[in-house]
This record gives sequence, C-alpha cells and structure tokens, in this order.
Amino acid sequence: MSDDGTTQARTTTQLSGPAEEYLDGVRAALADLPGPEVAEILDEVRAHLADLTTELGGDPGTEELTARLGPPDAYADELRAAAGYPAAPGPEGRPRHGIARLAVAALVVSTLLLASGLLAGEPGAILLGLLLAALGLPVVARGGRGPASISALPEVRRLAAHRPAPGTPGAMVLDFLASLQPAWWVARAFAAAALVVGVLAGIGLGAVLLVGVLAVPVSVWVGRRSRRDRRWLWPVVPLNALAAVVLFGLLADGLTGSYPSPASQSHPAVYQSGLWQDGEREIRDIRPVDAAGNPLSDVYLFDQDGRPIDTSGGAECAHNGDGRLSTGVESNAPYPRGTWDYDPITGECRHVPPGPLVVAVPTTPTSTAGATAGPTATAAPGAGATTAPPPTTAAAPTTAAPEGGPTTAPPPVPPTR
Amino acid sequence: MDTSQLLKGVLDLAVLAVLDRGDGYGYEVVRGLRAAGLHEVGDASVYGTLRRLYHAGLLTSYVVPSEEGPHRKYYSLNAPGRERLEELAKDWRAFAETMEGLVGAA
Repeated sequence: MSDDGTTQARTTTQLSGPAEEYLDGVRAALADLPGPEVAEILDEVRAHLADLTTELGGDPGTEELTARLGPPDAYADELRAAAGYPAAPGPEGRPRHGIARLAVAALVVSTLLLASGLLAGEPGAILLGLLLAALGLPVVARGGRGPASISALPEVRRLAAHRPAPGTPGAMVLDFLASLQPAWWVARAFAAAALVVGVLAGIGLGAVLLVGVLAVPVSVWVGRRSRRDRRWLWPVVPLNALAAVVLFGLLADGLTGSYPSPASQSHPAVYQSGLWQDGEREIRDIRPVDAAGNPLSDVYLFDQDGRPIDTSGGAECAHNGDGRLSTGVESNAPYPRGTWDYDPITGECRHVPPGPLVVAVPTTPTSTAGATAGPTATAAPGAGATTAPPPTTAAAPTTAAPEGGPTTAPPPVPPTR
Repeated sequence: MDTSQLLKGVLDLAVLAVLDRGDGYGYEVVRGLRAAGLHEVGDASVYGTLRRLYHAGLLTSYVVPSEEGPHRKYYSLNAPGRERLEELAKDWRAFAETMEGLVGAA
C-alpha cells in the first residue's frame, strides 16, 4: 500500500471556481470524520471534479455540477453510506457536544461518587452522586436526540471504532461476555436488593434474598429493554457500575467473614447480646448500694422508658441453642441476681450467687452521708451467700471482707469518667 | 424498475469485477460501471465503496502523478480482494439462478 504523494496531489491541481466551491461544500459536510481520512477522500473528490470539469467542457457552473452529482451534502452523505462511515451529525450536533460531554461526565462522576460513597459509608457523597445523576439523565434521555448527540461525540466514536472485528479473539471474548448477560441481570438484581435492604432495614440475608427474587424480573425486563432501546443504556450503565461495586463489596465481605451487607461498613457496631458498658465491658449483674454504700437487695431497675433492664442476655450459657433462656434463669428477677457461668470442673452452666463486694461510694458535697461521715465504704454481706465463691472486688484498692463483717474504709475513688 | 436498490447489494461485486480487469482510479471505475450498463450508480457511492474495500484490506492503492490534471490514486485488487470477488461471484450466480427459477416462468 503506498499512499504517498497525496500532499503533492493536493497542491498541484487547481479547480475552477464552482468546482472548488463544491469541494468546500463536501469538505464541510465531512468535517466530523478523522482528518487524515477526510484528506484522502478530498484528494479523490478533487480528482473526480477535475475529470468532470474536463468532461463537461472545461468550465461547468455550479448548476451543472449539482445536476450531475447532486448537492455537496448529498454527495457527502452518499459517500458516507457507501464507505461505511457514521452518518452525519444533525445540524445541532456540534454545539450539543458540550452538553452531551457534560452529561456523560456527570454520569461518570456520579457513578464514582455513588460507589465510593457506598464503600466509605459517606452519605454526603451518595447524595451528591444522586444529584449529579439527576442532572445528567434528562440530557441523555431527551427524546432520542440525546444519545445520538452522545454517540456523535468524537471520543465516543473513536471508542466505537476500536471494537474488535468479528472473528478476532477480541470479538470472541466480547461475544462470550455478552452471552453471560442474563446471569449478570440476575446478579445485579440481588445487588440492588442488598443495597436497598441494607440501607432501609439494616441487615437480613433472608430479606435480601426475598427482595432479590422479586427484583430479578425487573432487572431482566430492563436488560431486554435496553437491548432494544439503547437509550436505556445511559441510566443502566452507571447503575450497573454501582451494582458491580455492591457485588464486589459483598464478595469481599463474604471472604473476610463479616456481615453480608455494605451497610455493615457504615455501622461498625455489631449487635451484641447482653448489657454492655461503652461496648467493651460486659455487665453481667448489677449490685445496687445506697448512698452510704450499704448493699440493697430485691431492686428492680428500669431504663429511661420504664422498660426493665436485663443483664441475663449476655451470659452465653444462660441460653439454650434456640436463644431462649435456660431454666432457672429469669429475665425479670430483682437485682442483685448473681451470674451464670460454666462450671470449670463439670462444664455445666451454673448459677453463681452474688458474693461479698466492697464498693467505693463517691463523695459528693451535697451528699449528707458522705459529708458528715467522710469517705465511707462498707463491706456488704452477700445477699444469699450459700456457697463460697471467690470474693469479687470492684474498683480501687479494697480489701475483701470476711463474710458479714465491716471493713475499714478505703480512700474514696472518684468514678473514672 | 428502480435498479439503484438492487445495485446497493451488489456494488462491491461490481467494483471488484471492474478492478479485476485492471487497476483503476475512482472515475475510471465509475466509467467502467457505466460502460457495462450500470448507469444508475452514483459517483459518490463508487468512491465510498472504494474507500471501504480499501480499509477492509481488499484493495491496495498507489498514486500516479500526472503532468497536467490531478494526480490519480489507483486501486488494485490484492489476494484477499480476489478471494472476496470469487466468493461474491459465486453467491451472485447462485442467487441469480434462484431468482431466474422463480421468475423465469413469469
């Protein structure tokens, strides 16, 4: 193939005025095609016009040329059709490039924002992404003209030109991927279900599966629809990207063994049974004392809404396999209750009654007991000390008391807060 | 009957057949088609077809400078082009035979 000499050809031939005008018309109508290709074509058209000029008597007018070849636009269109070039963009195609480009950029950026916002648990990014998508979608969805203006974008066209030719390995890979499309439709339905259920209702594998099964027909419908009407691709492609991110997150979560929902990433506090102080210290029993430090028994405790406070949920062995409390463990008993634990010898779950305990009651200026008597702490006899569990000590340097006997008062320990 | 519709499907074959007789530049191919009786083929269609066949690797091209008038870009059939011509010619004969069998009695 030798395509040299075209530059020469371009400069040596001088056409007559009307022929040169005709050539300009064709050039303008092909302006959206790649430059080198246009130059090649115009060289040939120039030669063509020169031949016709000779044939038509040396000095044809514009009418004669048009009568023979049709108007320059029609000539260019016919050439495009025969050469397999993309059809000419509409008259409004060029100024629309800016809007189309903006719309594509908005969709791409919104997809990235949605995906990263979801991964990082950043609601602001998700909101901004949705806003951008809402701005971009109307442009591409408008009356069929939007996608045309987008597919007329030079960069989009260049991408399309790089599609592998049929029969090549690249095309075979693409065909294979295309044949997997229905599987993807199902997968993305479950991704959407995980997203919706995760955001709206927290975590629940059953709910995800249920919503996923309901979402599959919708997803398949959208997939078939977007095969026929390519306009659907513009909203579907960003959502697909989102679904891919969710699926990726689910897979990653599944591999690391955490909860199967992206929502778990934004709510790291996992549900723990029982009563916990600051999420790290389990409260297995409550030992009420009065202001003087005297232990109280048969105390019922309620939260700010009047619901009973129950510490029995945290004791692992207090539950049967199905989550119900074992016999003997009451969730509405008064405090102190004692604890439930595995017997180190028999391995059975047994009740450990509350042992003697020395607590430091904080001194407060307004407290009459503390103000007059100074720092006091009393050793309390166990409420129902029948067996002899090791004495439990709490708070600071205290001494365990022999059963029933008062001890010396330790220095007051302010609450660690 | 408007033969331009019929022509669209066989323009590749027609252009390849003209070039099979000898190399030619665009307008020569147009004239070759006209001389063969295909008057309705558009000039621009022939130029476009030549570009497409060239990009498909069925033609090679070379430029012949001329003293007066424009330099000519000649197109020439290469081996894949000849293969393609044979294929298309075979298809055409089978199709023409079928059509003849269908409309021969009319």
